[in-house]
Amino acid sequence: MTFFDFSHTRNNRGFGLVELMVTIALLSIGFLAAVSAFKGLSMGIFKTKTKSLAVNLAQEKMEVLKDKSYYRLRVTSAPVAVPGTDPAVYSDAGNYAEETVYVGGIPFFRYAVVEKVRKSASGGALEAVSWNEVDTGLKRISVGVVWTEADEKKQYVLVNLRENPSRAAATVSMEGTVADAATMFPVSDAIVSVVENPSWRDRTDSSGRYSFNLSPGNYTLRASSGPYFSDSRLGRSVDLSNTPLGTNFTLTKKANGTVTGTVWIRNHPVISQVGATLGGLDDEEFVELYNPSTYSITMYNSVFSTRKFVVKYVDIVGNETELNPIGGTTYNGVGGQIIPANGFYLLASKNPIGGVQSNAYYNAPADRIPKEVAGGIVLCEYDGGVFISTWDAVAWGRSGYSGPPKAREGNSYFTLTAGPGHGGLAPDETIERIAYATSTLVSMEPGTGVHRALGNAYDDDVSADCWVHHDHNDWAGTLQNWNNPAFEFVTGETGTPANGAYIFADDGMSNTAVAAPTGTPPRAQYTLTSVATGTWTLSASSGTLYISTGITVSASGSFQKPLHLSSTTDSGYVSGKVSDISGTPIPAVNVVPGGGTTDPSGFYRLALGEGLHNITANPGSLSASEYVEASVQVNVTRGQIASGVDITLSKGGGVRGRVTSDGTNALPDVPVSIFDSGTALEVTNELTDSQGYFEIAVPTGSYYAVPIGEYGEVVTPAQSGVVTVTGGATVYTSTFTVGPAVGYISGTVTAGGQPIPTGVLIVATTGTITGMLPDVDATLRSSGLVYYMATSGGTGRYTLSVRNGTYNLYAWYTDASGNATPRSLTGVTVNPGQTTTADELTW
Amino acid sequence: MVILGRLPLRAPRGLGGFTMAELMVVVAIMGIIFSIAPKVLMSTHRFFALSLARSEIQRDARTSLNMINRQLRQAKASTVTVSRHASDQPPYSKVEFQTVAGSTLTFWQNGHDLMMKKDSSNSRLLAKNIRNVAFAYTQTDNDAIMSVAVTFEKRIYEGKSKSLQTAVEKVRIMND
Repeated sequence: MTFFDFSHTRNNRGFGLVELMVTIALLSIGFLAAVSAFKGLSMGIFKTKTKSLAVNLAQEKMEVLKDKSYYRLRVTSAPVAVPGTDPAVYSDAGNYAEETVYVGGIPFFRYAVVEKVRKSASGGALEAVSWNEVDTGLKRISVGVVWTEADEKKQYVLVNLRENPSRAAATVSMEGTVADAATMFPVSDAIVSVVENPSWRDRTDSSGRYSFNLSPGNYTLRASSGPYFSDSRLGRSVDLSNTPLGTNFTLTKKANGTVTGTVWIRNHPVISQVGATLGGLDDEEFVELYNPSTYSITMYNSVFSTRKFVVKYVDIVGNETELNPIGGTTYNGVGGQIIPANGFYLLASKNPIGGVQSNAYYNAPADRIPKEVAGGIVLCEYDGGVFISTWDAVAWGRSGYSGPPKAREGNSYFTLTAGPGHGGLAPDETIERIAYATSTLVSMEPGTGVHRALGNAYDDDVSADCWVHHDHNDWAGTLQNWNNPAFEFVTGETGTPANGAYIFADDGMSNTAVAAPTGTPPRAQYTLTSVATGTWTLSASSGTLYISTGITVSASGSFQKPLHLSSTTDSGYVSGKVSDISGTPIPAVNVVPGGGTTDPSGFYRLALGEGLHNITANPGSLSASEYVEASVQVNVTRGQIASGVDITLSKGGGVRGRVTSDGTNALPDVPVSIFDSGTALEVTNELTDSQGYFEIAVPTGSYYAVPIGEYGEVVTPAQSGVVTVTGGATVYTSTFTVGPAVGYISGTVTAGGQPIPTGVLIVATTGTITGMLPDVDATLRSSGLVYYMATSGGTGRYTLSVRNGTYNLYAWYTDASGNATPRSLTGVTVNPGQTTTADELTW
Repeated sequence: MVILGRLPLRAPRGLGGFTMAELMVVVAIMGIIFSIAPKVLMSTHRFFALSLARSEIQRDARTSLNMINRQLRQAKASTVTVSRHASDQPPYSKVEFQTVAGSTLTFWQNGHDLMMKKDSSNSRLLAKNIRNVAFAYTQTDNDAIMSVAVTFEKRIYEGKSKSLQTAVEKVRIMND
């Protein structure tokens, strides 16, 4: 055995290829595991690091935003969700543009949104309100940071609140009850408000309780509710030990009365009188029709050639004979084809008849309506030959013979037993539709005291109820006074009883009543109780028919009001009250659509087509210029009444003014606060428009305007003089000058032509610095000479936000060995709102 | 002599030694490997050192900014004085203030060290490898907002590489 034995012996072989490969494979597995573990570890470190970087970035943005004055913190109007974020991070490109910040080579995207928030009614949680709502005094800032980590979107959102420092905080809860002074029952839906600040208000709930927040102080509280007299009392929101004081109201109910009446439908012509013979002649027969509606009815088209209404005689076995006229005349103002409103119409066998002209006559001489037999008359409507409906019918019988079923109404007929002959329609006898009086059935014969003046259109669709028999002994073969214009009007309670009709008054107190059949023959009776005293509109609606009329109710009175439904409508109805913020009704206010106007009690009613409507009171402030317009949405159903659609208007005086940068040039987007001169509390605020103007609607009162400049801005004058706003007037406050406004100096610092990444301190001032920068302490800060400072970032860029003016720039660059060397640049001019570039700071 | 005499100059048959050519190839390959390996090793090391330095100073920047930020928020704005520790330090590299709790705090740069001192306790080192720190009011008539800029720099004495981290944060001083 030699010491150096490199020889390959047969028993001492090296590794085989397979062994080597196995070894390498094992090594690789181990190595890969180590690498992936390392990767996981470094990812973990990376994730924590990026998360805390994101938190820092969000905090930094939050500090900058919170440093803005409350008003400059513009509220996001159109938040947009950042794609890929869940839950969504919102951005506001208009006010807070997306920022890309590179830290450690990672791009972070930074967003911000600002919302108005208020305490939710239910309790502690904050709820966002729309950007264009009245300022709530509290804004919520959300700063979101979004970055990508291993192809996955990561996000961090920081939320903070900003309070309006000049707004009196509503920290005290004002609670109490409102009760009926007589019964001590709670009054619901009463408005309790602070007279000095109407935005502090509440409506009582079903147990009469109200509760709202206000700031400590002395106020006048007012409680108002439609059926009650309003009550005001001086209240203090807190007692001396700062405990909230509740105020309980007892309200005295307004006096009320009762309205009763009947409701009648008068939308079709009726048969009012039938005669079979005058003085015994068979061809002297007639049917008299009556139109109780408020509009004229066309009986026949184009001189009787086209049937519209058809009058038929029905004999005892049911044969029908149409009484089709061949001609007509105008008699007593009634034309041959038309029955005017409240008019009678004589359709006779001949013309003239009984000494009078008939309105229409058929084929005289003829005996279509036989005397002294049972029979009937039917009135039908056709349209172009097509049957539409039977409007009216009457059947009469005689002793031993019943009326023909085809002409019966309510399967009943009127029996003519009296008379000189065998019954039926004897000479000089007629059957007449009754007028309806409150207690008795009366005929319409002239001279008997109660007749046509009460109307003769009672039609409850039961023949036996509606007709009386009349023996005209005095006629002597002539039709006397039958069509005398003096009797051609209807004021009485007559027509078809509108059972089931809805009746309501707009007094805001009474409930809707439903008409129900009462008495014999039945009439549709309604009773509205607890109608507030005053003049109201009484409305009735049945199916597609509607009427409204005025009624005056006095205390404890009972009032009769018959209602006649004759106008067809496709509408539904909306009624309600327009009042101011304290509940006082506003009369003569336009309400659209539908062209309504409020009555002296502030009520309006509109007839509208089916569907959803926006009811707007006081559009364009045209009808009540001291109030602003207001809208409410309501769903209208045909024939139905949407009542209680109340609209509250606020007084619409205005204050106006302008904010400029130099007395001429507009300064847009400057917040302007309007303060009540009495309480020195902010009432509302607004941003100036692109022309620098602001115009704010306020309740009447005395105000002053205060534009809110940014830090370092001086507003001249600091506040306007006190102006008095009367209803409808817009008062100019002042032209304000905000200056000097802010501009920017921006640039890149370089060393040897390359941007300096290590942070260069830059100081801008209107003064001159020789040598070292002065120490910044309280004395320097209050000296009046302002130094603006910034440090350039990793890319060498810097931006200074300064007032307009001419500045000297001083920059200090610390090199690697720790030596700080200065550079300076003089005469950098900055204009408001503009950026001046200063790249000349080089080393 | 005896030993030499026993070393055969020629490979005996059946005992296959290296030939000259084989040896030369081996030497050449080893030469190539030896000439490359240090460079690879160096760059790997530099990369690691740089990553380490970067994460170190990023961490330092974060912690020190956090610390300053947290304390400065508590400051009473009227008590804040910005100066420098000594005439050889960068301007505005020192801030001194009282917090609402009554403590007096000082942060300053001393060379490459960021120092902190609370009340009368000993000053302590907050971070090393600092290039410069600057406490700058965005405008001196508003003492509520201050921008704090910290730049860290760590050198790796290989290839003159260095890692840089500049962080700027605005701090809102909450109290008057």
